[in-house]
Amino acid sequence: MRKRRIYLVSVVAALILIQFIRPEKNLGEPDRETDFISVSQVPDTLAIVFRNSCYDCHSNNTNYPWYSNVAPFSWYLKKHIVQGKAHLNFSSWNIMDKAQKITQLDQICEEITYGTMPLNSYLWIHRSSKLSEQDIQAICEWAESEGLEILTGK
Amino acid sequence: MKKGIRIVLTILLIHTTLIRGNANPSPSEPQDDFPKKVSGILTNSCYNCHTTGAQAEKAVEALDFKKWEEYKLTKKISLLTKICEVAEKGDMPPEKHLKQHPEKAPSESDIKTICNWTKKESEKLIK
Repeated sequence: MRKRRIYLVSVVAALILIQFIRPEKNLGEPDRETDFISVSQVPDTLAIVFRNSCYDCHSNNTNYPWYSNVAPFSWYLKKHIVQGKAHLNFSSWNIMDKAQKITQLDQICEEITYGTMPLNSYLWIHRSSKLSEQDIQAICEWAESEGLEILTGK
Repeated sequence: MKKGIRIVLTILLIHTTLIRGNANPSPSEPQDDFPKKVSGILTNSCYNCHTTGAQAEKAVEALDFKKWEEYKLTKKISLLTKICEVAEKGDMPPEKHLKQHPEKAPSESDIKTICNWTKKESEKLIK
């Protein structure tokens, strides 16, 4: 009985203590000069989809859920955002060269078509971020024409 | 006169070697016009899985060197970028595959050759 109480107290204490380790949040200043949606003039209907389904992990501005302040979830989010931005950061879209942009556009379509993105773990919480068949088709069509436009010089 | 015969013979010889070279492409050789060195590396390290007919369906779907010429320009650029990326990161060839076929691992200089080529090639496509 006593052992159990010691165990419980130490778990609670640990949970409280880890709350003091707070990762820095991903809340940068948006820059219209480099942001994907403004640079590529993404149509409004698709811009909403990108913001709602991709930007949390693939931009400098995350729309944080309530539990983002609670460790260890906060750490988990931080890790995903860092990884997501390493692969593709929509906020610094215009820093990339033509080949990189074309590659990313192609990859965007591929990832969402195969359903590898958005991540399942993200969709559990953000149910509205799930892409519909129409979303996927519209993004792929737009991405392809945008890629071509970049290729042929704009 | 003798000189003339010699020239004709030389031309014939060159001609036949060229024809033979074209008529008998080895079946494992890529159907493309990649530089020889690049082609060699790709054949050794990538073709086992990334060509039509390979057992690895997913790999063929992701990239099929036999169909290289059928890909759209943007797809080619994307694939070129990815080829260099996965080679540099060591994501490809997969570790599992290399455990069974260690000789398929590209060397550091192979990877450099590949990346130099992918960059040049995609620049060419963009121009």
